[in-house]
Amino acid sequence: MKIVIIIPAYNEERTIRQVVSAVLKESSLVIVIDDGSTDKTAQRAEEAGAKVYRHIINLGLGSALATGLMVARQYHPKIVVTFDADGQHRAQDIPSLIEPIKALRADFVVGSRFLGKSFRQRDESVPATRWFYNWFANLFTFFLFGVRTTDSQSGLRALNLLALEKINIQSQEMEVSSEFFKEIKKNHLRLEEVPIKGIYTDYSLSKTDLSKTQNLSTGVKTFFNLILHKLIMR
Amino acid sequence: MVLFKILFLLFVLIILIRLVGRFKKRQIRFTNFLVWLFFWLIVGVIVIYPEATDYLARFLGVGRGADVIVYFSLVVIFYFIFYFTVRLHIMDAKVAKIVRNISLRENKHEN
Repeated sequence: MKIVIIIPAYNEERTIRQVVSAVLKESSLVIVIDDGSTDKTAQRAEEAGAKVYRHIINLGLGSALATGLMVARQYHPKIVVTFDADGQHRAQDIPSLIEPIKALRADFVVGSRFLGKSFRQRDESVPATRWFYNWFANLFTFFLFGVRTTDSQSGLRALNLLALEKINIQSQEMEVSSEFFKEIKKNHLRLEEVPIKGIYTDYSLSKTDLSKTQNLSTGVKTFFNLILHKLIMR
Repeated sequence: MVLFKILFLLFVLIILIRLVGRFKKRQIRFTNFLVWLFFWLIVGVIVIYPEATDYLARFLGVGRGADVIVYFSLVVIFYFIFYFTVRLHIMDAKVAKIVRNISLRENKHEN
């Protein structure tokens, strides 16, 4: 079964090589979308064996993922997986992530770091602020787009051909994570969540990414972008 | 009050000069030029004769002429904020499209 793995990356030269090598064990086709990095992200990714597509300027996570999906379509895969570049996901979670698609139960699978876990039961690696931020983001995603999820900000996703065809990403930045759920609802895709383990290292925690650690100002910006998105886009 | 009038008129004058300059350099269209010229001339008249707005206020049922100006300005400002937000979104999307196309094209050459 042909699987394409998409890794959006922006200035991740420290981790990208490891990440690409790890996911190459799960699929032979790994595509890195280098979103205008100013460091050696593209070079490192290529050395590790990924196909690299470069944005000449930094557009944001949403645009990078949209490019990734567009590129993936050209390879006619059966399954597309999106994977974060900062090393917070484990490549060994990919088989269980794509299992619901292989079993034809789901069109879209989200790897959830919080599935079936309350605040007290959360992985000790998940910081408390992270947990609350995510809880709020989930509530907000439900409020705006009407989809229940335990991890609306997860960067680990799997799409089947139908989802790849139907999903049309418009948002440019972090709000893209929630937009996926909007598209799932709009296109009546079957969603399933699979528990995954997040690796929170000092490095991934220092980043100001939504799927990674979100500082307050990016959080507020994402919040308003989502409302704006809801108001302006169809 | 006189100082306020002088300062405000100076401000309007500067804007009018720049407006004409832009029109001469063909940076704005004739219709656009007319609209803004008309707008700032009215502002100038209102600064000189603020009582003029009281007629409008009475006609609209708003207490004072000054209030009419504030209400009107707010509506215009909010409209423009909305307009520019939408425009910015459209421009963002266009930039993304260009960047995406370049990246797809680059890889095509390699293959």
